Amino acid sequence: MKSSAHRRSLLVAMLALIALSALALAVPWAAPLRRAIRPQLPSFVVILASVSAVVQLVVGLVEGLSKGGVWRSAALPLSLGVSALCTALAFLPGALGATPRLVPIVGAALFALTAAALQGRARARGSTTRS
Amino acid sequence: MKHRIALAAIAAAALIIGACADQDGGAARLSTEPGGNEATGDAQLRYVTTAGAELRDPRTHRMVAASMGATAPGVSASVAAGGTGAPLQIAYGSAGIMTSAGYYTATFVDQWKHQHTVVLLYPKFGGPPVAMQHYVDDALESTTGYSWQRTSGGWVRTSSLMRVVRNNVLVGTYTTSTTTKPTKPGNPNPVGPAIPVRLEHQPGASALQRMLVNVAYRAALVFAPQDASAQSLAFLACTQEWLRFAATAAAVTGIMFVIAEAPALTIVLVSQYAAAVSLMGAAEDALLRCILENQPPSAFHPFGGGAGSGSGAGSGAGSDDCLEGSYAAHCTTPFTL
Repeated sequence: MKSSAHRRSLLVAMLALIALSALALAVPWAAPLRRAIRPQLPSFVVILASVSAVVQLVVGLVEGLSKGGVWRSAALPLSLGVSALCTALAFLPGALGATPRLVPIVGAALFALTAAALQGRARARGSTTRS
Repeated sequence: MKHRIALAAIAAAALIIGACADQDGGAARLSTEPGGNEATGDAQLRYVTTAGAELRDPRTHRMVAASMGATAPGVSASVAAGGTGAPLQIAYGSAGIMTSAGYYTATFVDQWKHQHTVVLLYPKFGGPPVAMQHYVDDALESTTGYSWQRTSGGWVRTSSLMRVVRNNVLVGTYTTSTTTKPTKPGNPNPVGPAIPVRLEHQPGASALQRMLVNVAYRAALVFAPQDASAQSLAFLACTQEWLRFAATAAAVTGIMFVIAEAPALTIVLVSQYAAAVSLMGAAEDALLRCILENQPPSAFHPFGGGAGSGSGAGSGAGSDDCLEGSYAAHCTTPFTL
Protein backbone atom coordinates (compact mmCIF):
# COMPACT_ATOMS: atom_id res chain seq x y z
CA MET A 1 0.00 0.00 0.00
CA LYS A 2 1.27 3.40 -0.85
CA SER A 3 0.21 5.42 2.15
CA SER A 4 -1.09 4.93 5.64
CA ALA A 5 -4.41 6.47 4.60
CA HIS A 6 -4.81 3.85 1.89
CA ARG A 7 -3.91 1.10 4.33
CA ARG A 8 -6.40 2.39 6.86
CA SER A 9 -9.13 2.58 4.23
CA LEU A 10 -8.40 -0.96 3.10
CA LEU A 11 -8.44 -2.26 6.67
CA VAL A 12 -11.72 -0.51 7.41
CA ALA A 13 -13.25 -1.85 4.20
CA MET A 14 -12.16 -5.40 4.96
CA LEU A 15 -13.36 -5.15 8.55
CA ALA A 16 -16.70 -3.83 7.40
CA LEU A 17 -16.98 -6.62 4.87
CA ILE A 18 -16.24 -9.23 7.50
CA ALA A 19 -18.59 -7.74 10.09
CA LEU A 20 -21.45 -7.33 7.64
CA SER A 21 -20.99 -10.82 6.23
CA ALA A 22 -20.91 -12.37 9.71
CA LEU A 23 -23.99 -10.41 10.73
CA ALA A 24 -25.82 -11.29 7.53
CA LEU A 25 -25.13 -14.96 8.07
CA ALA A 26 -26.38 -14.81 11.64
CA VAL A 27 -29.85 -13.38 11.00
CA PRO A 28 -32.69 -15.91 10.81
CA TRP A 29 -33.54 -15.05 7.22
CA ALA A 30 -30.07 -16.22 6.16
CA ALA A 31 -30.84 -19.82 7.15
CA PRO A 32 -31.62 -20.88 3.55
CA LEU A 33 -28.44 -19.18 2.34
CA ARG A 34 -26.40 -20.96 4.98
CA ARG A 35 -27.95 -24.24 3.97
CA ALA A 36 -27.17 -23.53 0.32
CA ILE A 37 -23.51 -22.58 0.73
CA ARG A 38 -22.73 -25.16 3.42
CA PRO A 39 -21.74 -27.96 1.01
CA GLN A 40 -19.67 -25.64 -1.18
CA LEU A 41 -17.62 -23.99 1.55
CA PRO A 42 -15.17 -26.86 2.27
CA SER A 43 -14.14 -27.35 -1.35
CA PHE A 44 -13.88 -23.58 -1.83
CA VAL A 45 -11.63 -23.25 1.20
CA VAL A 46 -9.50 -26.27 0.25
CA ILE A 47 -8.89 -25.11 -3.31
CA LEU A 48 -8.09 -21.48 -2.50
CA ALA A 49 -5.98 -22.29 0.53
CA SER A 50 -4.08 -25.06 -1.27
CA VAL A 51 -3.19 -22.78 -4.17
CA SER A 52 -2.10 -20.03 -1.81
CA ALA A 53 -0.11 -22.47 0.31
CA VAL A 54 1.74 -23.92 -2.67
CA VAL A 55 2.60 -20.50 -4.07
CA GLN A 56 3.69 -19.04 -0.74
CA LEU A 57 5.74 -22.07 0.24
CA VAL A 58 7.48 -22.17 -3.14
CA VAL A 59 8.21 -18.45 -2.94
CA GLY A 60 9.54 -18.87 0.58
CA LEU A 61 11.74 -21.81 -0.32
CA VAL A 62 13.13 -20.09 -3.39
CA GLU A 63 13.75 -16.94 -1.38
CA GLY A 64 15.52 -18.82 1.37
CA LEU A 65 17.61 -20.96 -0.93
CA SER A 66 18.57 -18.08 -3.19
CA LYS A 67 19.89 -16.09 -0.25
CA GLY A 68 22.31 -18.86 0.58
CA GLY A 69 20.58 -20.13 3.69
CA VAL A 70 19.53 -16.75 5.08
CA TRP A 71 15.93 -17.47 5.87
CA ARG A 72 14.95 -14.17 7.41
CA SER A 73 13.38 -12.82 4.25
CA ALA A 74 11.70 -16.17 3.62
CA ALA A 75 9.97 -16.20 7.00
CA LEU A 76 6.99 -14.14 5.84
CA PRO A 77 5.99 -16.22 2.80
CA LEU A 78 6.70 -19.41 4.71
CA SER A 79 4.45 -18.29 7.58
CA LEU A 80 1.73 -17.37 5.15
CA GLY A 81 2.21 -20.66 3.34
CA VAL A 82 1.95 -22.73 6.51
CA SER A 83 -1.09 -20.72 7.56
CA ALA A 84 -2.75 -21.42 4.23
CA LEU A 85 -1.77 -25.07 4.49
CA CYS A 86 -3.38 -25.30 7.91
CA THR A 87 -6.47 -23.59 6.52
CA ALA A 88 -6.72 -26.26 3.85
CA LEU A 89 -6.07 -28.99 6.41
CA ALA A 90 -9.03 -27.79 8.46
CA PHE A 91 -11.20 -29.79 6.07
CA LEU A 92 -8.59 -32.45 5.33
CA PRO A 93 -7.71 -35.25 5.73
CA GLY A 94 -10.76 -37.39 5.89
CA ALA A 95 -14.17 -36.89 4.48
CA LEU A 96 -15.18 -33.36 3.66
CA GLY A 97 -17.64 -32.12 6.23
CA ALA A 98 -19.25 -28.83 7.05
CA THR A 99 -17.46 -28.52 10.39
CA PRO A 100 -13.78 -27.57 10.21
CA ARG A 101 -11.25 -29.15 12.56
CA LEU A 102 -10.06 -27.12 15.52
CA VAL A 103 -6.31 -27.85 15.64
CA PRO A 104 -5.50 -26.83 12.03
CA ILE A 105 -7.57 -23.68 12.52
CA VAL A 106 -5.55 -22.74 15.59
CA GLY A 107 -2.38 -23.38 13.59
CA ALA A 108 -3.63 -21.20 10.75
CA ALA A 109 -4.42 -18.42 13.18
CA LEU A 110 -1.02 -18.61 14.87
CA PHE A 111 0.91 -18.54 11.61
CA ALA A 112 -1.27 -15.76 10.19
CA LEU A 113 -0.62 -13.62 13.25
CA THR A 114 3.09 -14.42 12.98
CA ALA A 115 3.01 -13.35 9.35
CA ALA A 116 1.26 -10.13 10.32
CA ALA A 117 3.97 -9.40 12.89
CA LEU A 118 6.73 -10.20 10.37
CA GLN A 119 5.10 -8.01 7.75
CA GLY A 120 4.79 -5.14 10.21
CA ARG A 121 8.43 -5.49 11.23
CA ALA A 122 9.56 -5.65 7.61
CA ARG A 123 7.63 -2.50 6.79
CA ALA A 124 9.04 -0.68 9.81
CA ARG A 125 12.55 -1.74 8.82
CA GLY A 126 11.96 -0.58 5.26
CA SER A 127 10.74 2.84 6.34
CA THR A 128 13.70 3.21 8.70
CA THR A 129 16.11 2.32 5.91
CA ARG A 130 14.51 4.85 3.54
CA SER A 131 14.65 7.64 6.11
CA MET B 1 -17.64 11.76 15.85
CA LYS B 2 -20.35 13.18 18.07
CA HIS B 3 -22.97 11.89 15.67
CA ARG B 4 -21.45 8.42 15.79
CA ILE B 5 -21.43 8.40 19.57
CA ALA B 6 -25.02 9.61 19.64
CA LEU B 7 -26.12 6.99 17.13
CA ALA B 8 -24.32 4.25 19.06
CA ALA B 9 -25.96 5.43 22.28
CA ILE B 10 -29.39 5.46 20.65
CA ALA B 11 -28.87 1.99 19.22
CA ALA B 12 -27.72 0.65 22.60
CA ALA B 13 -30.66 2.28 24.36
CA ALA B 14 -33.03 0.89 21.77
CA LEU B 15 -31.70 -2.60 22.29
CA ILE B 16 -32.06 -2.30 26.05
CA ILE B 17 -35.61 -0.99 25.70
CA GLY B 18 -36.40 -3.70 23.21
CA ALA B 19 -35.21 -6.41 25.53
CA CYS B 20 -37.84 -5.23 27.99
CA ALA B 21 -40.63 -4.89 25.47
CA ASP B 22 -42.76 -7.46 23.78
CA GLN B 23 -44.25 -8.17 20.47
CA ASP B 24 -47.23 -6.37 19.01
CA GLY B 25 -49.59 -8.96 17.68
CA GLY B 26 -51.61 -6.38 15.83
CA ALA B 27 -54.88 -8.11 16.58
CA ALA B 28 -57.71 -7.15 18.84
CA ARG B 29 -57.30 -8.14 22.45
CA LEU B 30 -59.47 -9.89 24.90
CA SER B 31 -58.77 -9.26 28.50
CA THR B 32 -60.65 -8.42 31.61
CA GLU B 33 -58.52 -5.35 32.07
CA PRO B 34 -57.69 -2.84 30.87
CA GLY B 35 -60.08 -1.80 28.14
CA GLY B 36 -60.05 1.38 26.13
CA ASN B 37 -59.00 2.30 22.68
CA GLU B 38 -56.22 -0.10 21.84
CA ALA B 39 -55.67 1.22 18.34
CA THR B 40 -54.50 4.56 19.64
CA GLY B 41 -52.75 3.09 22.62
CA ASP B 42 -54.97 5.12 24.93
CA ALA B 43 -56.00 2.16 26.97
CA GLN B 44 -57.89 2.64 30.19
CA LEU B 45 -57.78 0.58 33.30
CA ARG B 46 -61.00 -0.64 34.81
CA TYR B 47 -61.21 -1.99 38.25
CA VAL B 48 -64.31 -3.62 39.60
CA THR B 49 -64.86 -3.74 43.32
CA THR B 50 -67.78 -4.55 45.52
CA ALA B 51 -66.42 -2.37 48.29
CA GLY B 52 -65.68 1.31 48.54
CA ALA B 53 -62.87 2.79 46.49
CA GLU B 54 -60.90 5.97 46.81
CA LEU B 55 -58.91 7.85 44.24
CA ARG B 56 -56.04 10.20 44.82
CA ASP B 57 -56.67 13.59 43.29
CA PRO B 58 -53.53 14.47 41.34
CA ARG B 59 -53.95 18.18 42.10
CA THR B 60 -54.70 18.11 45.80
CA HIS B 61 -53.04 14.75 46.53
CA ARG B 62 -55.99 13.87 48.73
CA MET B 63 -58.03 10.74 48.58
CA VAL B 64 -61.59 11.20 47.41
CA ALA B 65 -64.36 8.68 46.98
CA ALA B 66 -64.32 7.09 43.57
CA SER B 67 -67.25 7.60 41.25
CA MET B 68 -68.31 6.16 37.94
CA GLY B 69 -66.51 7.33 34.86
CA ALA B 70 -63.02 7.52 33.49
CA THR B 71 -60.23 9.15 35.38
CA ALA B 72 -57.30 11.11 34.13
CA PRO B 73 -54.05 9.33 33.31
CA GLY B 74 -51.68 9.12 36.20
CA VAL B 75 -54.38 8.75 38.82
CA SER B 76 -53.81 6.25 41.58
CA ALA B 77 -56.54 4.30 43.23
CA SER B 78 -56.55 2.70 46.59
CA VAL B 79 -59.24 0.15 47.14
CA ALA B 80 -59.92 -1.15 50.62
CA ALA B 81 -61.65 -4.44 50.17
CA GLY B 82 -61.94 -5.26 53.82
CA GLY B 83 -64.21 -8.10 54.62
CA THR B 84 -65.01 -9.01 51.06
CA GLY B 85 -62.59 -11.74 50.22
CA ALA B 86 -60.09 -14.26 51.41
CA PRO B 87 -56.37 -14.05 50.79
CA LEU B 88 -54.98 -16.24 48.09
CA GLN B 89 -53.93 -19.45 49.79
CA ILE B 90 -52.55 -22.62 48.31
CA ALA B 91 -52.44 -25.81 50.34
CA TYR B 92 -49.68 -28.39 50.12
CA GLY B 93 -50.34 -30.90 47.39
CA SER B 94 -52.56 -28.59 45.40
CA ALA B 95 -52.46 -28.60 41.65
CA GLY B 96 -50.00 -26.11 40.31
CA ILE B 97 -47.33 -26.70 42.94
CA MET B 98 -43.93 -27.77 41.70
CA THR B 99 -40.98 -29.29 43.50
CA SER B 100 -38.27 -27.64 41.43
CA ALA B 101 -37.68 -24.81 38.99
CA GLY B 102 -39.52 -24.83 35.70
CA TYR B 103 -42.45 -23.41 33.91
CA TYR B 104 -45.86 -24.53 32.84
CA THR B 105 -47.72 -23.37 29.78
CA ALA B 106 -51.43 -23.58 29.16
CA THR B 107 -53.23 -22.38 26.05
CA PHE B 108 -56.85 -21.98 25.12
CA VAL B 109 -58.86 -20.27 22.41
CA ASP B 110 -61.69 -17.94 23.30
CA GLN B 111 -64.98 -17.42 21.48
CA TRP B 112 -63.40 -14.69 19.33
CA LYS B 113 -60.75 -17.15 18.11
CA HIS B 114 -57.95 -15.45 20.01
CA GLN B 115 -55.35 -17.77 21.41
CA HIS B 116 -54.51 -17.20 25.05
CA THR B 117 -51.30 -18.53 26.53
CA VAL B 118 -50.66 -18.46 30.25
CA VAL B 119 -47.15 -19.23 31.44
CA LEU B 120 -46.40 -19.94 35.08
CA LEU B 121 -42.79 -19.59 36.17
CA TYR B 122 -41.56 -21.50 39.21
CA PRO B 123 -38.64 -20.73 41.51
CA LYS B 124 -35.57 -22.85 42.10
CA PHE B 125 -36.92 -24.69 45.11
CA GLY B 126 -40.42 -25.21 43.78
CA GLY B 127 -43.67 -24.17 45.40
CA PRO B 128 -46.31 -21.95 43.86
CA PRO B 129 -45.44 -19.86 40.80
CA VAL B 130 -43.51 -16.65 41.33
CA ALA B 131 -44.61 -15.13 38.05
CA MET B 132 -47.31 -15.47 35.48
CA GLN B 133 -47.34 -14.21 31.91
CA HIS B 134 -50.45 -13.89 29.81
CA TYR B 135 -50.12 -13.77 26.04
CA VAL B 136 -52.95 -13.20 23.59
CA ASP B 137 -52.19 -14.16 20.00
CA ASP B 138 -48.51 -14.39 20.99
CA ALA B 139 -48.46 -10.80 22.25
CA LEU B 140 -47.84 -10.15 25.92
CA GLU B 141 -50.90 -8.83 27.72
CA SER B 142 -49.77 -8.89 31.30
CA THR B 143 -47.09 -10.19 33.58
CA THR B 144 -47.54 -10.72 37.30
CA GLY B 145 -45.04 -11.40 40.04
CA TYR B 146 -46.06 -13.05 43.30
CA SER B 147 -44.56 -13.20 46.77
CA TRP B 148 -45.55 -16.11 48.98
CA GLN B 149 -45.26 -16.78 52.66
CA ARG B 150 -44.94 -20.36 53.78
CA THR B 151 -47.37 -21.41 56.46
CA SER B 152 -48.14 -24.65 58.23
CA GLY B 153 -50.87 -25.43 55.73
CA GLY B 154 -49.24 -24.23 52.52
CA TRP B 155 -48.51 -20.82 51.08
CA VAL B 156 -50.21 -17.46 51.37
CA ARG B 157 -49.76 -14.75 48.80
CA THR B 158 -48.35 -11.72 50.57
CA SER B 159 -48.11 -9.42 47.57
CA SER B 160 -48.39 -9.33 43.83
CA LEU B 161 -47.47 -6.88 41.13
CA MET B 162 -49.26 -7.06 37.81
CA ARG B 163 -48.00 -5.10 34.85
CA VAL B 164 -50.48 -4.60 32.04
CA VAL B 165 -49.06 -4.16 28.55
CA ARG B 166 -50.86 -2.92 25.46
CA ASN B 167 -49.22 -2.51 22.08
CA ASN B 168 -45.77 -2.92 23.62
CA VAL B 169 -46.45 -0.20 26.17
CA LEU B 170 -46.84 -0.60 29.90
CA VAL B 171 -50.19 1.01 30.58
CA GLY B 172 -50.71 0.19 34.21
CA THR B 173 -49.68 -1.69 37.28
CA TYR B 174 -51.69 -3.28 40.06
CA THR B 175 -50.07 -3.87 43.41
CA THR B 176 -51.86 -6.14 45.82
CA SER B 177 -50.81 -6.90 49.35
CA THR B 178 -52.39 -8.94 52.08
CA THR B 179 -52.19 -7.14 55.36
CA THR B 180 -54.15 -9.25 57.79
CA LYS B 181 -53.45 -12.66 59.20
CA PRO B 182 -54.63 -15.25 56.72
CA THR B 183 -57.20 -17.87 57.48
CA LYS B 184 -56.41 -21.55 57.51
CA PRO B 185 -56.76 -23.33 54.20
CA GLY B 186 -60.02 -25.16 53.87
CA ASN B 187 -61.90 -22.93 56.26
CA PRO B 188 -65.42 -22.70 54.85
CA ASN B 189 -66.03 -19.28 56.46
CA PRO B 190 -62.90 -17.29 56.00
CA VAL B 191 -62.56 -14.09 57.88
CA GLY B 192 -62.17 -11.37 55.34
CA PRO B 193 -58.79 -9.76 55.31
CA ALA B 194 -58.01 -6.32 54.01
CA ILE B 195 -56.38 -6.54 50.62
CA PRO B 196 -55.38 -3.06 49.54
CA VAL B 197 -54.98 -2.80 45.81
CA ARG B 198 -53.05 0.06 44.36
CA LEU B 199 -53.60 0.89 40.74
CA GLU B 200 -51.26 3.06 38.71
CA HIS B 201 -52.28 4.09 35.23
CA GLN B 202 -49.38 5.47 33.33
CA PRO B 203 -49.95 8.11 30.65
CA GLY B 204 -50.18 6.78 27.13
CA ALA B 205 -46.95 6.59 25.18
CA SER B 206 -46.28 9.04 22.39
CA ALA B 207 -46.01 7.96 18.78
CA LEU B 208 -42.24 8.37 18.92
CA GLN B 209 -41.98 6.17 22.00
CA ARG B 210 -44.12 3.53 20.39
CA MET B 211 -42.08 3.62 17.20
CA LEU B 212 -38.83 3.38 19.18
CA VAL B 213 -40.13 0.43 21.14
CA ASN B 214 -41.24 -1.35 17.99
CA VAL B 215 -37.91 -0.78 16.27
CA ALA B 216 -36.02 -1.78 19.40
CA TYR B 217 -38.07 -4.92 19.81
CA ARG B 218 -37.43 -6.01 16.25
CA ALA B 219 -33.72 -5.27 16.60
CA ALA B 220 -33.49 -7.05 19.94
CA LEU B 221 -35.37 -10.03 18.61
CA VAL B 222 -32.89 -10.42 15.78
CA PHE B 223 -29.61 -9.50 17.39
CA ALA B 224 -29.88 -9.64 21.16
CA PRO B 225 -29.95 -12.77 23.28
CA GLN B 226 -33.48 -13.93 23.94
CA ASP B 227 -32.71 -15.55 27.20
CA ALA B 228 -29.61 -15.39 29.34
CA SER B 229 -29.93 -18.95 30.61
CA ALA B 230 -30.42 -20.21 27.07
CA GLN B 231 -27.31 -18.35 25.97
CA SER B 232 -25.24 -19.82 28.78
CA LEU B 233 -26.48 -23.29 27.94
CA ALA B 234 -25.58 -22.78 24.31
CA PHE B 235 -22.18 -21.39 25.25
CA LEU B 236 -21.28 -24.32 27.46
CA ALA B 237 -22.45 -26.83 24.90
CA CYS B 238 -20.63 -25.10 22.04
CA THR B 239 -17.20 -24.29 23.44
CA GLN B 240 -15.44 -26.09 20.58
CA GLU B 241 -17.46 -24.13 18.04
CA TRP B 242 -16.70 -20.87 19.83
CA LEU B 243 -12.99 -21.73 19.80
CA ARG B 244 -13.13 -22.51 16.10
CA PHE B 245 -14.89 -19.24 15.37
CA ALA B 246 -12.43 -17.23 17.46
CA ALA B 247 -9.44 -18.92 15.85
CA THR B 248 -10.72 -18.32 12.33
CA ALA B 249 -11.40 -14.69 13.23
CA ALA B 250 -7.80 -14.42 14.43
CA ALA B 251 -6.54 -15.93 11.19
CA VAL B 252 -8.59 -13.50 9.13
CA THR B 253 -7.31 -10.61 11.22
CA GLY B 254 -3.71 -11.67 10.69
CA ILE B 255 -4.10 -11.93 6.94
CA MET B 256 -5.90 -8.59 6.85
CA PHE B 257 -2.94 -6.93 8.54
CA VAL B 258 -0.54 -8.65 6.15
CA ILE B 259 -2.52 -7.29 3.20
CA ALA B 260 -2.67 -3.82 4.69
CA GLU B 261 1.06 -3.73 5.34
CA ALA B 262 2.11 -5.45 2.13
CA PRO B 263 3.80 -3.33 -0.55
CA ALA B 264 1.40 -4.66 -3.18
CA LEU B 265 -1.86 -6.55 -3.23
CA THR B 266 -1.19 -9.88 -4.92
CA ILE B 267 -3.71 -12.39 -6.12
CA VAL B 268 -2.20 -14.99 -3.80
CA LEU B 269 -2.92 -12.81 -0.77
CA VAL B 270 -6.45 -12.19 -2.01
CA SER B 271 -7.09 -15.90 -2.46
CA GLN B 272 -5.69 -16.63 0.99
CA TYR B 273 -7.91 -13.93 2.44
CA ALA B 274 -10.93 -15.42 0.65
CA ALA B 275 -10.06 -18.87 1.96
CA ALA B 276 -9.76 -17.57 5.51
CA VAL B 277 -13.04 -15.70 5.26
CA SER B 278 -14.75 -18.79 3.89
CA LEU B 279 -13.30 -20.84 6.72
CA MET B 280 -14.66 -18.27 9.13
CA GLY B 281 -18.05 -18.58 7.45
CA ALA B 282 -17.98 -22.35 7.89
CA ALA B 283 -17.01 -21.93 11.55
CA GLU B 284 -19.80 -19.42 12.08
CA ASP B 285 -22.29 -21.74 10.41
CA ALA B 286 -21.20 -24.59 12.68
CA LEU B 287 -21.46 -22.30 15.71
CA LEU B 288 -24.95 -21.13 14.78
CA ARG B 289 -26.12 -24.68 14.22
CA CYS B 290 -24.72 -25.72 17.58
CA ILE B 291 -26.40 -22.81 19.36
CA LEU B 292 -29.74 -23.49 17.73
CA GLU B 293 -29.53 -27.20 18.46
CA ASN B 294 -28.80 -26.51 22.11
CA GLN B 295 -31.64 -24.12 22.76
CA PRO B 296 -33.84 -25.27 25.62
CA PRO B 297 -37.25 -26.64 24.70
CA SER B 298 -39.85 -23.95 24.30
CA ALA B 299 -42.15 -25.54 26.87
CA PHE B 300 -42.45 -28.51 29.13
CA HIS B 301 -45.33 -30.01 30.95
CA PRO B 302 -44.59 -30.94 34.54
CA PHE B 303 -48.23 -31.87 35.12
CA GLY B 304 -48.46 -34.27 32.23
CA GLY B 305 -50.34 -31.79 30.08
CA GLY B 306 -53.58 -32.12 31.94
CA ALA B 307 -54.51 -28.60 32.94
CA GLY B 308 -57.96 -28.25 31.55
CA SER B 309 -59.31 -28.32 28.07
CA GLY B 310 -57.11 -26.91 25.41
CA SER B 311 -54.09 -26.79 27.63
CA GLY B 312 -50.55 -27.40 26.50
CA ALA B 313 -48.04 -25.40 24.58
CA GLY B 314 -47.11 -25.48 20.96
CA SER B 315 -43.62 -26.75 21.46
CA GLY B 316 -43.94 -29.78 19.30
CA ALA B 317 -45.15 -28.19 16.13
CA GLY B 318 -42.64 -26.73 13.74
CA SER B 319 -39.41 -27.39 15.62
CA ASP B 320 -37.56 -27.82 12.33
CA ASP B 321 -37.83 -24.17 11.45
CA CYS B 322 -36.70 -23.30 14.99
CA LEU B 323 -33.50 -25.26 14.40
CA GLU B 324 -33.00 -23.33 11.20
CA GLY B 325 -33.08 -20.05 13.09
CA SER B 326 -36.68 -18.98 12.95
CA TYR B 327 -37.82 -16.51 15.60
CA ALA B 328 -41.46 -17.47 15.34
CA ALA B 329 -43.47 -17.38 18.53
CA HIS B 330 -43.31 -21.13 19.07
CA CYS B 331 -39.52 -21.02 18.85
CA THR B 332 -39.02 -18.44 21.57
CA THR B 333 -38.90 -19.18 25.25
CA PRO B 334 -41.40 -17.57 27.61
CA PHE B 335 -38.63 -15.79 29.50
CA THR B 336 -38.40 -12.88 27.10
CA LEU B 337 -39.25 -10.23 29.65
